[in-house]
Amino acid sequence: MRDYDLVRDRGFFERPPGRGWLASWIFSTDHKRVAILYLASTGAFFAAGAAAGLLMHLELLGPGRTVMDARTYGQAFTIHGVVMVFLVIIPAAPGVFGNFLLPLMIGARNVAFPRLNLLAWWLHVAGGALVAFSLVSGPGAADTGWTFYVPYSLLSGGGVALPLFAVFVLAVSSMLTAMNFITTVHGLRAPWLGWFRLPLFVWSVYAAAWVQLLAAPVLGAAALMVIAERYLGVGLFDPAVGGDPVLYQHLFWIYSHPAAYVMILPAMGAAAEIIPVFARKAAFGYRAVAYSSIAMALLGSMAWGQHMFVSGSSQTAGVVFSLFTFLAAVPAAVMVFNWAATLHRGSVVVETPLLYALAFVFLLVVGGLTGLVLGALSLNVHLHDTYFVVGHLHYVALGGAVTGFLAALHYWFPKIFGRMYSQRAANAALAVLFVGLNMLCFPMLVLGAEGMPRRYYDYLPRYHDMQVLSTVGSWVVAAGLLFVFANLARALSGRGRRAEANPWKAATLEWKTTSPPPEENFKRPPAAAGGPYDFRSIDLE
Amino acid sequence: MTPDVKDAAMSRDHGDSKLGMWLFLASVALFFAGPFLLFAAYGYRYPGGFAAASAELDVVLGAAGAMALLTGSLAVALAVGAVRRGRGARAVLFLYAAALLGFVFLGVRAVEWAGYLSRGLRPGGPALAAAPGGKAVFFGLYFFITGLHALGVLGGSVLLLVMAAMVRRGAAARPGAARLEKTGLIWHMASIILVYIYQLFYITG
Repeated sequence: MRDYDLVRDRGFFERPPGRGWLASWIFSTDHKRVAILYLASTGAFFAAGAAAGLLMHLELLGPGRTVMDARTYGQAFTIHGVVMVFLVIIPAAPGVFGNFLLPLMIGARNVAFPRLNLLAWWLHVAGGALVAFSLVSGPGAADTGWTFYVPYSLLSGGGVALPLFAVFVLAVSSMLTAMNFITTVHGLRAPWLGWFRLPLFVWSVYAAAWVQLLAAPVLGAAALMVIAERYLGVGLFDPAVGGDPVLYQHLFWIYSHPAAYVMILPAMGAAAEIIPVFARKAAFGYRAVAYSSIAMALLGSMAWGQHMFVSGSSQTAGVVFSLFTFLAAVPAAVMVFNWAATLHRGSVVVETPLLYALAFVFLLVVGGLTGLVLGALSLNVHLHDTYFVVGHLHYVALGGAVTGFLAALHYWFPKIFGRMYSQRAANAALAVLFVGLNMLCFPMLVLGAEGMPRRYYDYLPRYHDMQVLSTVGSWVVAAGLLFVFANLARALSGRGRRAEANPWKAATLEWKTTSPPPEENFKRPPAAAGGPYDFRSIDLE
Repeated sequence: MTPDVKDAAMSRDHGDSKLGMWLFLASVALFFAGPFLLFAAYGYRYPGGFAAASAELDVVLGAAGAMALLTGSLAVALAVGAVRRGRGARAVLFLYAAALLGFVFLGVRAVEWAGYLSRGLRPGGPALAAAPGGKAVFFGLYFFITGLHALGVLGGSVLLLVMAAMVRRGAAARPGAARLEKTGLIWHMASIILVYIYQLFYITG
């Protein structure tokens, strides 16, 4: 019997002596507590962003004005985008699972820079506060869209400086986290843990961290430039003084396209952890998947012009960016095929994390394929700025990143909280969510192909049926998410049974300590083990 | 061999915090890369306007500022060497000198800006708006980049004073040198960016 099976205390949830309860959380440098802080903050921001989305869909239930006027609708989709992209999806998976798992998976006690880690969370909260404040201060919420394109962001009556400065602050926050993760993986691995014995989740978070570190500063500079131009008259993008608005688009997308890969890589890493465990079979093509994480980050960083095919760039530029868009899909496909090969002829155990991971893979594939459709130059001419783009991005963001986050949550929940949830309820919630996601997003693809533009407050009567279907889908998604979180909350409330150290019989290092782990992670340093997917030795224990 | 459980303290000894500093500096480089990219794009589009605008800049003052900053870098490097050899007092003097040179640089920059603004080269002002294509954008980029750079130099100078205080307090043992060396890297980064600023705006423009 392993010693970490016997421990029945609250692990890192135990309050360290000499501190009040609140201070022990919000001033904690324990990476596990910081992860929980991120869970709380991104969860709150997700609820706010989802509320904006639901309101938007309520407006789209009928043509013409339903519940709000056109300008308010513009503010709603701006807030929805800013909150979801910068406050939820980009920080959530690295902030929660990267923070919690990276040191555990490499056998370390903490990240390389624990205080910078806490600072990054505080900056995350500050960014959220700035966005919230922008809604109620002076000129009110911005209505430029989350992309803040010039020239409208220079002219709009809404308040643009606060959300743009929030974007800058959030860029700094995510850069600190990225710097932390890269240094942690390089420097704090257990002595026997070489690069190619790392769990694949570490590879994906590491690749995402590089992208975030190098690309986010470009967005930060662009945000400051727009603020300077709007409020100090520093002419950089204004055509009246020789500026070029398209150059803003370049700077914006040089970050925001690779950011999409930052959003999806950790989710793919989580799937890469879950699938082998429930196939009871080592990850197929480990090196291919590891290299693919790096390749996706690299190639995705060179494909930003895919958002600008119809902005007046040359055909040569279009061809180059379209090529990189297609190339970036290759490593993604490699990962999907490797997951399938892992399942093939495995002794598959169908439990909740696997079901969420499979839903993730399906939705990711739909999102990825629709991305290729958009990456084809000729099709892009018709589909750019239509609902097809909205459908694509929600398949990858909601179907990919969020479902992947939920898969990771259901997989690592017993480790983090020391409690087990009801799998039946979780599976039922997934079914509701899956149906809702497709009801929400698939009509968008149809609407876009039929020509409905995005960000439009009103629409022609022939688009009505699909909009109704999509709106009902948004309610089903909301119901599914509430169901998911109610189930997990119930498990936390004390009604869930205690989880053992390794309920899924996985082989990575985080499962070799108690659930939840103690503050120092490992009561005894983890000894050199088999590989991260060596299940035979686990089954023999 | 007993495997260790590594923590932050061990990582400092193993030089990982230097890796962290280099990563931070990479992000600073990328931060300025955006505006420099705009410089390249607009410079290509408005060669005449950029040349005319560059002629308005005071090459001598710009050079003076650059000399101050680069000499400050030398002082920082000498300070690190002094700490390594246990010469704390000398290191403190070098750090004070570097910080002073940083403030000298800021003073020169302020004088430059005052000159340009008094000549009506104000972003958003009528003189630039009426100027031929490119001049307004040149000065927009100039003020934006040099403004942010100056903020960085200000922060760096303050950091050097903080470092000087730490060295004086006796944090002059080896770990102190590592911390000073990392702070020095920030200063050198500011110098490198200034070299690019001077070269692009004052000379090739």
